[in-house]
Amino acid sequence: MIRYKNILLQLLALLLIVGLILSFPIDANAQKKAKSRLKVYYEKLENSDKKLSIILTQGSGKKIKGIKDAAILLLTYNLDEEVELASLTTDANGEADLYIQADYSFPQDEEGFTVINASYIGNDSIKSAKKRIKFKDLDLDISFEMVDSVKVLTLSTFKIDSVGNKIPIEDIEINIGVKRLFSTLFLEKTETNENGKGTLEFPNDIPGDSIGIINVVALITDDDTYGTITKSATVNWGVPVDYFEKSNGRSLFGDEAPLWMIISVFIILVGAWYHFVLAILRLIKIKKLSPNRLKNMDASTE
Amino acid sequence: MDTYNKNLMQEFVPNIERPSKKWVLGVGLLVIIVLWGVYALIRQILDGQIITGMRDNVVWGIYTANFVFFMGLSYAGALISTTFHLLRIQWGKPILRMAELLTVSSLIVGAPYILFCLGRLDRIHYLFIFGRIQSPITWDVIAIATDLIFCVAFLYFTHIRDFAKLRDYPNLKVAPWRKKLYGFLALDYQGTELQKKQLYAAHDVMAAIIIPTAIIAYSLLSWLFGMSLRPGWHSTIFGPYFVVTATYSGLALLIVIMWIYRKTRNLETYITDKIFNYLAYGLLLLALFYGYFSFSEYLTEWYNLTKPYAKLWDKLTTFQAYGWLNLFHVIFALALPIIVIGVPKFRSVISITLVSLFVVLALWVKRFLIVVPVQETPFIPIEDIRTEYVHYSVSWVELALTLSGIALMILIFTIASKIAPIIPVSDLEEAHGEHKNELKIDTELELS
Repeated sequence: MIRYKNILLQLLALLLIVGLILSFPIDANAQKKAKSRLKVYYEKLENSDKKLSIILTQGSGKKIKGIKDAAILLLTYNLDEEVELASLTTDANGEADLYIQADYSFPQDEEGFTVINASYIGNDSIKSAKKRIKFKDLDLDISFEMVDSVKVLTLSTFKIDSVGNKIPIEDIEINIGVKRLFSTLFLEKTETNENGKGTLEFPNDIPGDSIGIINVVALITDDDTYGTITKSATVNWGVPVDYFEKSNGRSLFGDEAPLWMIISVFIILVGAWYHFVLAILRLIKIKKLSPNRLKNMDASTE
Repeated sequence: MDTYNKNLMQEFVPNIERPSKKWVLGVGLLVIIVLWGVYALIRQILDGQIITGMRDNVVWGIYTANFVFFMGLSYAGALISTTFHLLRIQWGKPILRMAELLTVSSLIVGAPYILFCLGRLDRIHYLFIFGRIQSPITWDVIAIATDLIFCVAFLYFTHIRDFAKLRDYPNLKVAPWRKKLYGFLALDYQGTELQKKQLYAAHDVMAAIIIPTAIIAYSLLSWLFGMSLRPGWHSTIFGPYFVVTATYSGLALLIVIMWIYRKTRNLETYITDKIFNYLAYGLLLLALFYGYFSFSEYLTEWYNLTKPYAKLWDKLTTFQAYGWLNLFHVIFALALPIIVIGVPKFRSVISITLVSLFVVLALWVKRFLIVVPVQETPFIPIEDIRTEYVHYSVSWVELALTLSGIALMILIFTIASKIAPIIPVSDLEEAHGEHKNELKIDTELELS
């Protein structure tokens, strides 16, 4: 009896311990705030507008997910003075973008850097997060030139000083591509020299539009100092391809029916009506072959 | 005229002689229903299509469902009658005329329905003036016109020998003008070998050309839908699917017509249980084919559901939308025929006829489900959200024209079977002669 009592007590004690272990982490989790992570990217767009992209996430690895409806404050600094750039709200993926017009100049420090501070204050379940980036302004130009029947593409990287002079920037890696229907087709890389110039020979077999126009894209990707810069320009260096004519050729909404269709309809109709006429001719013969008619004919012949 | 032929004529001639009061009353009632439809059509032309249930989104309502349905019946009738003729199927001879009448009557009734959908009937001639050969509408106009002419001609060809018999039948109690008409339509046919040869050749040529014409014409009708990119219509199997559905519904209606004539005219000797059973096997086979096509069509669409098709699928399976109609169609066009005809215990003339009647109704519902829910589910969301714009409902005008179409079809059958026997007497006589010859040859072989 005592033995059973002991076993029962031991089981109760075990259950109590297990219960405590299971309940402890749940309570602990409820009180522990999730870490958040803030990323900020600077990009100079094709039309020289600037873009700041914000991504706010929580979790890690496969469990990473965006934090939606979070308020992000963007600040910049004019010498020591704090300037509020914007306050953004993240979307369902935890993303928010700020577009800044080309004519707006960011405040810069003595070295020419622009500093951006992004901050998220957090909430009851998510911790606050901050991110600071700094970048310099840079301009990118594309020019096209034919040298002895060779298509030469020249890229220039420079910055403009306070009096409007172009100061070349060297050692910048630039990707070259052409815009296709869904994305950019990258072709080659080049690096600018001490004059801020990078040249490359452009291929002759890139398909263009109906008159050979292609859209060439130059891209500096996530440079430590200058961020991401895109520039594009059109040139008549592609192989002309008439896409519209090809798709129109297959369709039936054009002004003229395809030849195969006209021939098919003609054959079917002529075939059907020819047989119909054959059948009708046989009916006419029935009347002609009537014994009464034949007798009359014989009589008239006699 | 031998005894068998004499008896046949004695049996069938009273039906085409002076009409009874009951017949006149029935025809009168049918004419009233047809006139109701004519009145509805006049109102539609005068008041515009606003008095129908059709609006900006559903521009093809019950009229187009009727059009597809009746055209299907016609093509089925043509396929059955011409195939039976070409294959010389002896047991099917008593029902050939019914199949031919089904073809012509449903073509006459069905074709105008597509015109009722037109907002500007006064511009109908533009179709011929400005018609483009690459348009499915033009294909259909050409195909239906050709088919109608061929089928009317075929119907006439099959009547020539019976007209000759009626012309030569002594004491035929009909008006003198009808006797003259029989003489004129009989083309002086006397049944000589030379005349027979010409008539049979003409008959064979027409039968052979009608089969591909019917298949092409109904496939073209399906392409009216298939050439559109709408979910539920844009399908590569619509051609054969429509042809199978048409044959299925036409055969089912033929069985119902057979049963009505068998009951009302006491034709049990000619329209035998054997014919019902054989046609029921055909119906079962078509039910299986139809099920296969339906499954294939739905499976391929459902497996890669696009957003618009998902909406359509939802409407077809939700009982608040078209779920009940779809269920009705599945039970009566797929499950019931397979169970009732497939299990010998359930198979009888009555059960076959009832199942056929339900198949006809279910396949009309199927046509409605092809036409209406698809138009209620366009790619671009409907902007005008008034209920009558979003959901189609049948108005009294459309109902009147539908009922008058059915009445007109019955009227054509009633009048046609008053002009010539509903059973092709000459064909039966020929079948009897061939049977006698076969017996004679068998006896001679046994004796030798």
